[in-house]
Amino acid sequence: VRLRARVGPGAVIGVGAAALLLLALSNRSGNPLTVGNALSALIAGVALGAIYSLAATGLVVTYTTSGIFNFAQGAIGMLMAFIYWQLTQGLGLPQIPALIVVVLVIAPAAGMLLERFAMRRAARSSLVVQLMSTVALTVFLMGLAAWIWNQNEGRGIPFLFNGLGFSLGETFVPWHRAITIGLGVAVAISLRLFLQRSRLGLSMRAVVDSPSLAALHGARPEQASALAWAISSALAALAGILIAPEVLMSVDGLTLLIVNAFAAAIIGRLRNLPMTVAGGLLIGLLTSFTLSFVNTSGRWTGLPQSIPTLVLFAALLLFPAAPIVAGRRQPRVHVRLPAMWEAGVLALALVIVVAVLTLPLPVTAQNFITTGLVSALILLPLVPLIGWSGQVGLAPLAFAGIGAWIMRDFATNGNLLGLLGGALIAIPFGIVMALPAIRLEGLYFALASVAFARGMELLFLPQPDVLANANIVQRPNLLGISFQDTHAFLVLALVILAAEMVGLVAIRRSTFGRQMVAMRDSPAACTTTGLDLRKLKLGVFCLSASLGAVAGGLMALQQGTPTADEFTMFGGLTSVMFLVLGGVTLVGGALFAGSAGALFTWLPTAFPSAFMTAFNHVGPAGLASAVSRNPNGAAGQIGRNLARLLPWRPEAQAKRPAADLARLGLDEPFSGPTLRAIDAALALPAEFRASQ
Amino acid sequence: VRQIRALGASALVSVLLAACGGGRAAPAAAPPPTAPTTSAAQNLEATEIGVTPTELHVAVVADVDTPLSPGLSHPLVVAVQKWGDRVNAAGGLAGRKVVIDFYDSKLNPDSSSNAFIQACQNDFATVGSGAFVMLNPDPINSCVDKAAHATGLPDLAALAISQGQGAAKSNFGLILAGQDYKSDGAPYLVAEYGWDFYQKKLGTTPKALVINPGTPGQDVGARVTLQAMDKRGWTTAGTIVYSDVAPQSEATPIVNRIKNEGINLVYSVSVGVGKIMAEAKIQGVDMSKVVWVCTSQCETPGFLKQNPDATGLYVSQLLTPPSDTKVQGVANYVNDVAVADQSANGEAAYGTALAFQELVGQLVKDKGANGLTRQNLLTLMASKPTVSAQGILDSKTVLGSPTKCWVTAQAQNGDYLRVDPPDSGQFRCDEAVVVVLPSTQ
Repeated sequence: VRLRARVGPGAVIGVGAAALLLLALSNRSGNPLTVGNALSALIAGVALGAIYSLAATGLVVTYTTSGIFNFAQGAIGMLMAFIYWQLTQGLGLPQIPALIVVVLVIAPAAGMLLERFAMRRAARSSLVVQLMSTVALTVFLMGLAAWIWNQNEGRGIPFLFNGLGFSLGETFVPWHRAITIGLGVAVAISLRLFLQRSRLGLSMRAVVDSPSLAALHGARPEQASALAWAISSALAALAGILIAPEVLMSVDGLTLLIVNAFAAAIIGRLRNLPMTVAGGLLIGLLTSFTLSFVNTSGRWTGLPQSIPTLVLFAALLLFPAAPIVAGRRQPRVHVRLPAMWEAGVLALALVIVVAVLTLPLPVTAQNFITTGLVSALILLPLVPLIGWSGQVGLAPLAFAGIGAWIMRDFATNGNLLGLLGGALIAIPFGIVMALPAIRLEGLYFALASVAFARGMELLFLPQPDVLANANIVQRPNLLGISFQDTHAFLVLALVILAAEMVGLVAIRRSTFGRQMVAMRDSPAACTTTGLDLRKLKLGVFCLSASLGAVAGGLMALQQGTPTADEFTMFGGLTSVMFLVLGGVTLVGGALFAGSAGALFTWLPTAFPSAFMTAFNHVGPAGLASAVSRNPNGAAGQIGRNLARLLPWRPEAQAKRPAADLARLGLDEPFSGPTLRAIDAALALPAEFRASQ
Repeated sequence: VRQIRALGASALVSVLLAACGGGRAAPAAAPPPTAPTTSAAQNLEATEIGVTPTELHVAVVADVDTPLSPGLSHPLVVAVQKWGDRVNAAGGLAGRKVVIDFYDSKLNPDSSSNAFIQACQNDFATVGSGAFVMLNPDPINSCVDKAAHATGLPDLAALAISQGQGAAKSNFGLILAGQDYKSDGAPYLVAEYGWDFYQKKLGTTPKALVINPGTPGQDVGARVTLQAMDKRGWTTAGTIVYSDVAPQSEATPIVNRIKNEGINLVYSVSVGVGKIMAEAKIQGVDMSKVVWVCTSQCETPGFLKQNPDATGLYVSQLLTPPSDTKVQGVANYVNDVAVADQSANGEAAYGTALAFQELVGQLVKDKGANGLTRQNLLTLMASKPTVSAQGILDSKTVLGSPTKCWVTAQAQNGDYLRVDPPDSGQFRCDEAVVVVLPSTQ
């Protein structure tokens, strides 16, 4: 969804200036407000903002030229910064040749490889698959870098020109920072000219809007896309290398800095590069003025870190409401819905089989399995939210954190009513997250949910009254059963999971469930039939938040003392990544994702070896990068294969065509397998059959 | 969600990274310690889980194989293993060969619980451990001994900073959490190591700014440190967040505040202080007029390598600095452990292992070599025996109790050198140095 810009640069600058003035005049710290101090804060803010601008420029270029919002932009920059370090500090190459080699050779080549082998397929997938492909790439690159360069060794890249610089007022500005500022502006202007004035730039943008139409006009979509990734990777490398001397050189530090640049990119509406630079500068200035003139002790220590998140949320709220677009094509999602009796029998079988098979296992194995079940419970609420309703909410752990808080503060004796309490308390939080969903769609809402998760992580969950206390949650005793026992707790988690899965299937089969799917497939059609999308969205978010809180409460019971560290924004993103791999439209997808996570943890423990160590670093994310290969996920594929063993399912009846001819085009897709099955049924000669 | 939690704990990882890197050159080897042995005439028995007639199994639990920072607490494992090698070379412990079992807690709550469960099933005790996100004390508390009594697993931890370890009744850590989880109301503990020295150095009442990395656990630490400073009568300028991964540009406003507000003591619970010092230097702050202090996580060679501008930074903590190689325990540690695996946390693990060796020696002396049971060890620990770890610790140190003795070291020429007390092997002690503040909950 491309939204028309109605908030001009003047408004952004005006709001920003007013905020800075307010911060300065509040003067809550001991730093007196003088012209000199304000100038110092200004200079520091511009230098800081230049870093965010440079990082955000890469995000915008990638989005403009490939249509993908690349969470991995920071990870690519991090990897290139480590390669630059290896060339300069490890191999002794001079700075400038090393810079040229990395930015103009290695990074573009890496970008083209990524485009060819990881992103080309993702570009044709749904939004959530696109986003999670880049999250998987992020985790993969982080693991790869951490594996190659021992993170225990101190590394640093010096400032360019050995830190020489000049003074502006009372503030010293190293040339390195001045170059970063200058490059940020120069890159933004030159890229804007390139994308808007050059034939190649126009071609790259056209390919994003309509590859087939662009191809008809002589553009080469695949080459344009590869070039786009080469340019954006080069920009990521430039940003990474210029930023590296400013931060402790670590995998996470360099990678996660990109999160602060999201707000700048959004201020530029993901396409306006000068406004993106302005956005980066605004964030830098707000941070600088807050640190200079506001006392952030006590409850508000997280405030300076939260500024990019708050700006992101505010910028998204300033967007106009997304218009309802008619005639938009959604990527086809074809999932067979189980009958209620099937769901019930499967859930019962799951409980019995897992409970029995796990009984003789050692306690440690039971713990791994319980963790997988709790993880599945955390992911399950995303199935109705993302899979059925199409609302790409990426804050599952925020709601789990609320459930953990309620258990930790109000049900330390393990009273299971705490789970219910958490579910109720989470509803207002769900409504808060639903508000941007009412106004925004697609990527913009996804980013709003990221901001929500980050805000919860930094400002709410660490509060002394929430998850910073020292309470220990006891596991419950119920009906004479002590769930202190590991296997008993496993069964409790299993029963709750099975009940939720059956409950969700029932919801999916209800009117509410059909409305959710209708909203996902065609909001315009829903509106014309009188469906109130606002109420529907509120309902979905409340359901999702409540279920998430129940899972968080159970996690608190399992762990004993959950802390705010457990419920991070990035943790939520990676959990969604596994869900998409499992199948975001299926309740079984959550089970697959939880099981896969537990398995990936258990394998290196059970079979310690150099291979497993390497696998642990890059394997899970590497596998997850396959999310774009099957939009229905692994659980869908497994379900289809298993269905062949069930005699009452059509898949098991080999002689019957996979589709009824009369239903083709209605609820049966014209897929390759369907056509081949019809060919077989009609016994057509080979030359008339559907191609293999 | 397994990877997730480890990723989600990235902030904690970055805090602890510095504590696990780098190293120093090894001095000449010191003579091996004398290990308590038993007479050949005595028949050794399998007295406890992990204790056979020939072997004594000891576990070390640490966060090593983590997705973000592989090898995070590897120095703890190496330190305990090298201690075991040295003990075995000298004839073993309690007449038995020491076998070190390593269980990886993976910076993950569930893996941490599993690691302690495995240690309970296979080992006599855990020694030199540090599971930073062990959230649940149950696996330690509910551990049963050979006689099926729920004695708890003796956990002589190097770093008992997680709530799960800190709250476990059978945990006796060397470096403790900033909150006493075993007491009612979980009061905060602030160790004011070196504070008198800093005030004396300044010659005036300090005006202190506390630097906080912004992670939840550290946030509490920064807040109570500020309370303790207020209580002491120091002027305070509040806490300010500077994330361990923040750009140096973000330190410019902090440096401006230091200049403009007359702040003369910067107390950091974040390794980010290195970047702030670098920024202060280029912004022309007179570094000699400000006392820069960091908690023990900065006392690593890796930190100094990454922050060459941190010269002058003070660290006060309960271990003899690794540069004081005249002390036997320190010399052994520096000699035994490869340069790449040396760190302050590793030294703490080595010191804890040496303390365990002293305690087992005491147990053998009191009960005989067949008196090696968890219950006997826990009974001994309950009597609060003192340990010295061959000089790594002050001789009045009691595992599980806040240590009242410390050494102040300063970063000079790429190393931390002791400055107070200046003489080798000495500690500064004060019974009132650990201040107890009520929990706000």
